[in-house]
Amino acid sequence: MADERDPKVSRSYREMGSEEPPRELDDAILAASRRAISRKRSWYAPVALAATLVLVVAVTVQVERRKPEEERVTRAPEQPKPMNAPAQVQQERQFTPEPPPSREPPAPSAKSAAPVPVPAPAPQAAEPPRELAKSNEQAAGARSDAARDSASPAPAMRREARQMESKVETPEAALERIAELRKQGKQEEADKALAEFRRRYPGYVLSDEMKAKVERK
Amino acid sequence: MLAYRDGNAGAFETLYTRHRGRLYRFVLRSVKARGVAEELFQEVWMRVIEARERYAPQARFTTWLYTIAHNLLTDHWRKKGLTLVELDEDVHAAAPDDPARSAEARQALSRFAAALDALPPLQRQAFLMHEEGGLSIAEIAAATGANEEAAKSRLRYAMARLKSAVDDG
Repeated sequence: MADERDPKVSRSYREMGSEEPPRELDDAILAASRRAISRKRSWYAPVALAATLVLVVAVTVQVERRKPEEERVTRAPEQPKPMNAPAQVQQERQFTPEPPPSREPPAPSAKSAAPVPVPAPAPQAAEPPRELAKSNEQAAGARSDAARDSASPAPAMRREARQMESKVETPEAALERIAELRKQGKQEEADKALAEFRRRYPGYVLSDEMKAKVERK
Repeated sequence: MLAYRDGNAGAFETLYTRHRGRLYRFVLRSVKARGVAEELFQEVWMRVIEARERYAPQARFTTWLYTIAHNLLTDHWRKKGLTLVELDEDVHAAAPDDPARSAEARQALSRFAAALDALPPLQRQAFLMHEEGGLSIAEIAAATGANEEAAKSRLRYAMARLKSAVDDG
């Protein structure tokens, strides 16, 4: 800075005194400066809150919109199918969490049923017997065209699977049923049931005790 | 100022403490009337507070501060120009003939004060900005909206007149 000062002039000027602003003026100005800052802060808080709320609502709406898609993905694997079917592997590949522009039907897969990100509303069906699963696979294959247009075919198929499962009777249960028929004197029915039993389970060896219960005396 | 702009109230207090005395004297010696000076002084700081959001460090804060003060003084002179002329004449006429100021020092001071009061406002402003605010010629030019030649000329004229008043003793 080029200093144009003259020492004599500067000294004379300093001798004029060094007046200061009154204390009340200082206080008023400093108070105004603090008020300005607090005004700014009081304006910030509601705006920040409003922005947060808008963000939360937007995210919630977005999540709700995506839910049906995810449910479709997570429910589909509940349809019973054998583990190593080649068709299943192929369909599994098609079933990625990507948005489905091709609206492929949900591919039943025991493998993909394991990690379920969103809990399905219906209770999970128990693992069905192998033979039943096989027939279900065929049924599922037959229904695949209809399923392509359906948003959630899984519940109906699950009900069917449960009904079929309940029809399957263990050998022991069948023998108990035959013994009960004998007890009730329904000899003909018992004979038919025993014949059916021997046809279904040809290798089943009856104990002497059981023989006494189920065979005609 | 940037810290204050970002919400640090303490930063304003630091700035205010640093500049309050010099700016107050700059304003007081520009308008002479204490009440008016206080009003203008407060108004300068209110403008600083209001303008904090727009503040960009393109120049020294001091230059910016004195620019605001200069603009307010210019407005003030425009409104009260006639009154100022009367006050100038009163001071100018009364000072040399005051019998109470018999001591040499007081006479010298009185002559100097009279000479300062007698300066045209822009020359007085240039002198006060230089002496109180520590502004360079370039900064005085920026604060008053003049070119550097004009600012330099005003300051030189002011210094010559004041020096003459001091030397006359």
